[in-house]
Amino acid sequence: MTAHQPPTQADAKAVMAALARGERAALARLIAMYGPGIRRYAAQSLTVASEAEDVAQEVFLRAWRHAERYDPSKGAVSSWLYRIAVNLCIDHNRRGGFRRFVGIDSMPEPEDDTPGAEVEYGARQRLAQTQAVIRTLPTRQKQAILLKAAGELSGAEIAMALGTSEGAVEQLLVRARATLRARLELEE
Amino acid sequence: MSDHDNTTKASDAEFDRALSALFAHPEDEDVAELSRAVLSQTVTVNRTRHEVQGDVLSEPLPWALGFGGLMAIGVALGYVLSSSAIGDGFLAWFAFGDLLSVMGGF
Repeated sequence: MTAHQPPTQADAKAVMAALARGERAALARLIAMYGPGIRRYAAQSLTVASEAEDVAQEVFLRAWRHAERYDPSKGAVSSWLYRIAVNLCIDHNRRGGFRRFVGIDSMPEPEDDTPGAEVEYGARQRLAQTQAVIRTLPTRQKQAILLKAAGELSGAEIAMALGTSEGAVEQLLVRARATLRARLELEE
Repeated sequence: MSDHDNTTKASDAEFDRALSALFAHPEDEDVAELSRAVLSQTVTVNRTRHEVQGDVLSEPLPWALGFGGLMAIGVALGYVLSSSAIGDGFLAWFAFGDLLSVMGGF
């Protein structure tokens, strides 16, 4: 688990209110709160992981431009931001697929190389295996498990981000975990 | 809640934690670059009228040339179209040609 503490709802809502007033300092604060998780989610969700930084930038630019559209009564700030991220990742993957089909882009990286050289080979291999299994999951299961693991969102936050019920999210997570457990045990 | 449910929940939580740890990298927490990139783009998105006027005052020649060129094209087109409307098209096109040659055209 990561060392940072998740931001409180009150803090996040105060930051969004400041953002709606056009305070650029609030944008920096929002990025500090949710930037790492959104970048992590994008890196795992995108076919080309190196585009995660671009997607993360776009998420926060959209938040800046449309801050006044955020309604605190309709859900958490995290859900609102991750919903933007989920949609952007879908668009990126769709456009990337077409670009690869017509040969504009090269094939996607076979595995994520973000851990860097200092991470031992075993961990990289485990990560690559897990990513490969996650890629085979149905889209909604993949989104739910990545929002949980990479974004560290609660069931309610995931439900808001995906526009579904908490019960449906729980079902998606149960199925995703079962597939991951079975496939990863099989490979070990 | 039964013991089985509790065990399953604990096991799921453990699984999610392991998955989070697998995806987490220390460098993820560094958002300085991301912050800088986003904030610099918000500056260009939100340029005020005064900032644009500032550009005109600090670089007057290119803006004046662009404005002058557009005015000349507008005058020429207006002359041609109005002359054509009264049936004097032949002379008008000659005049338009002369004007373009003055401007470096033809």
